Amino acid sequence: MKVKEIMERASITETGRALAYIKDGLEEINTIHETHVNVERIDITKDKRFYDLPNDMIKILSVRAKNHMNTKDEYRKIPRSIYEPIIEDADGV
Amino acid sequence: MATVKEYAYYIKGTKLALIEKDTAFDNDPNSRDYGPGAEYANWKSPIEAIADGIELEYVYSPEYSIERTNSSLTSITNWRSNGGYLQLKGGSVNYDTTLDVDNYFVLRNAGQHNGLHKIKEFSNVDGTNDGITTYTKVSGSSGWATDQQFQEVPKLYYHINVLNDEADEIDLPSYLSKALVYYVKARLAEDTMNLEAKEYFMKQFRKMVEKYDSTRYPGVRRIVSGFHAIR
Repeated sequence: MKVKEIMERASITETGRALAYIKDGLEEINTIHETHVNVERIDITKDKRFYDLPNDMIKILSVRAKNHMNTKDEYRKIPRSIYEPIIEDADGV
Repeated sequence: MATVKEYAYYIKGTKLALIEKDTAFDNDPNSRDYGPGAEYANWKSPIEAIADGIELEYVYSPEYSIERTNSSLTSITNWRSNGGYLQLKGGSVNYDTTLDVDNYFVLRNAGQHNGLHKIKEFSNVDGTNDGITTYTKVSGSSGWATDQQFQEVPKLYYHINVLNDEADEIDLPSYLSKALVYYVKARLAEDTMNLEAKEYFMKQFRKMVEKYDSTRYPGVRRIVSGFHAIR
């Protein structure tokens, strides 16, 4: 569907306002049902704890790590820690 | 042969914190690593560097569509902050021959800089017009620091259709586009403080998105009690 068709169906005449609401709506849809997915690989650096998340990310689907609980260089899903470890990291946030 | 590792993560601000279980105990008998609570003490920052160690699967908003994925530039290597704006360079390529000012491009494999960018200007860094300054705000060093090199080979897609015109096609399935109409109507109703209409349209919007979501999972959906539940 084109932007114009949505504007006609919603009876809106201002293009800028319509585009802003459509972009908000696209984000809202993707928080409920993922329509566009990307996979990014990041190098692990020794003693570096914090890694930047992509700027265009709306929702994390999965975090996998190489050789997690295996020796076959497989990427396996890693658990989310509820608590932060007691050993802090110097690189901070 | 690779060794078995055990990782976990947590989110702090806009960053992903990766921790690894260290199974190499030290030989200090007074160390807490021996006694109760040792399993908590052994989680620390990654103890070894691994190329492509983290694989992050995430959702992004289709505010643009890449029209041609077979035409991309792979020469970008570094980034820096140029007056608060993201500047890219690499390969001593004259980017002005392929791209134009005010054009959009999309970066992939570029870590935190993944996504849509708009070109502000070209500048000479190591050669002629081999630097691209964008309108994307960034905080970082203004020098070409080593920690601001891209870890992977970023792909710069430049045949992009950005959602900025009435004639643009929204990259969504037909049914979800209809749900989007309800969302826009809800926002318009909210602007006029017609909250009853806003709630109605939002309800319809969520219903349609959830119905669409259900169509992707065949069979019956049941909520069952867990294994350890009281029977």
